[in-house]
Amino acid sequence: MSVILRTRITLVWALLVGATLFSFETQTLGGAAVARTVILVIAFAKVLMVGREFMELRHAPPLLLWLFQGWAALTCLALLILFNL
Amino acid sequence: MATRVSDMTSQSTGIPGRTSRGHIPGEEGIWVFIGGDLLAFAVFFITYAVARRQELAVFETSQRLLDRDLGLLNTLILLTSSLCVAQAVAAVRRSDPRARLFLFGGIALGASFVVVKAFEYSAKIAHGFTLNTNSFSIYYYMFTGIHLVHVLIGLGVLCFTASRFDRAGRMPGGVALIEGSGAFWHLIDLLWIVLFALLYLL
Amino acid sequence: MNASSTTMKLCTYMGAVAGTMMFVGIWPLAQMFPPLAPTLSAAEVADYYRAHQTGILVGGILITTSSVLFFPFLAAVATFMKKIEGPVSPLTWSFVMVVAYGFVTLFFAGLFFTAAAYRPDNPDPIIRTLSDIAFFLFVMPAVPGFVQNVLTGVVILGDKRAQPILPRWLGYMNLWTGVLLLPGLAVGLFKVGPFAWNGILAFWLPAVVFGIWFNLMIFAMLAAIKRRALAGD
Repeated sequence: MSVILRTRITLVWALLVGATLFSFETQTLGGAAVARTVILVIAFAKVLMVGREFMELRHAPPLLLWLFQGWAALTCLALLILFNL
Repeated sequence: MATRVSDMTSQSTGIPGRTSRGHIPGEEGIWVFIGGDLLAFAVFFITYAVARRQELAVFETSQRLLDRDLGLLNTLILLTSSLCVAQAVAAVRRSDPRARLFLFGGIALGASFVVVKAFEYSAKIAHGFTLNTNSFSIYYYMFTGIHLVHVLIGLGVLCFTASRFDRAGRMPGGVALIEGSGAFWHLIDLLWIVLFALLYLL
Repeated sequence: MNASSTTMKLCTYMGAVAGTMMFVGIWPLAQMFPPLAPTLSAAEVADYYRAHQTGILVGGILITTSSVLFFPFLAAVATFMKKIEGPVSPLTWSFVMVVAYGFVTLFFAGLFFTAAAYRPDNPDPIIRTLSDIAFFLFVMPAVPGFVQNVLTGVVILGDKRAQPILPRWLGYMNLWTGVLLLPGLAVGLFKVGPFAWNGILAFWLPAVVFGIWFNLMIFAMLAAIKRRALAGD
């Protein structure tokens, strides 16, 4: 069990690093609006991964998990609107 | 008492208690702090986005002056530090004495974040980009500064946790302490992920 | 035991009285809530004081009075902290000394509002300087507020009893409040933007957080008094 958990965390970390590098190189991706959206969505996808996996919220009571995910979704939405409209 | 019971389940199964209601990492109270901080930072992010719309040209020119590579480096440092701390929590659960090593690794990486930040600040100041240069610089220094205060507090919390290991490298007080301080450390990582995107990438 | 719990209740309620008085003094009377913009010219500030003279003078009385009435409440907090810490109580003593910085400045803020409004025939720059001092006294003592909240939080979380005297979430609440009060310390650096003394992050966020903290403290302390947490050992 513990070995599975260990490899899972490491895999999550690798995904996070990959997502970071991808958004770092995104600036020229198909126009500024697309790039902005991609960067914001990737940032909050990373936020969800850190919360669910590293903070172990996916095992937490549903209320706590959904408060966190709701926060991430609403903040991301607000920023997407403010940056793109 | 409830936390104590769930600690035992998590220690025996090696993974967070799979009760029907789920397992709260650390203790309930620390989520008051984490939730409050998330709300406050949401206000920060939105304030920044509104201000950026009002002075788009100033923000875009000034953002180009930031050292993106150092920002990326610090993001990778914090992500890896979070991984170390998460591994330390998992190791404490299975009474693996390597937990202490993982935690020290996390602390060392956290400290190097502070060092990189110090270099970044001093290079910016040497180029004449200081706190009151324009509206962007205010946000840049204040947000990263407030985040840096969080990092320093988090390092203190992690060091306190590291001092609770016994000689054999086990955590006699149970897993709640390292879970709670770990959750706080991941919060710092998470906030930096958004700050990095907002200040350096967008 | 009954007499002392009545005293504790009275001291705790005194916090609510003081908070209300301060708010009434600053908002409807002096009309300094939200604060005047730091960018206003000397003439604009001076005219504001001349136009609102009576309200500011009466508000000044309420603000200075409220500053004194906060202390019974803070003493009740210290009593809880002393009970938790026991005979060796360095953190409680630190708290007792630090709160003086945070709440005596409120007295002086009221005093400088009064001094600024007292002589309408004063030259404009003098009125504005007095007003600046009042606002700095009001917003800038963020560090004593931070230290005070951290001390309270650390003591509450250090409680080793099976049934803690004050709930642990209140400890974390105090730490959170302390961190969010901190941006106030930098108001001297800015005249515009979110970190100026009327800005969203140096004024509004700490003001809201302080309001939440204050009400939850009173609520949790009254609950602890009700279940006689201070009695016995």
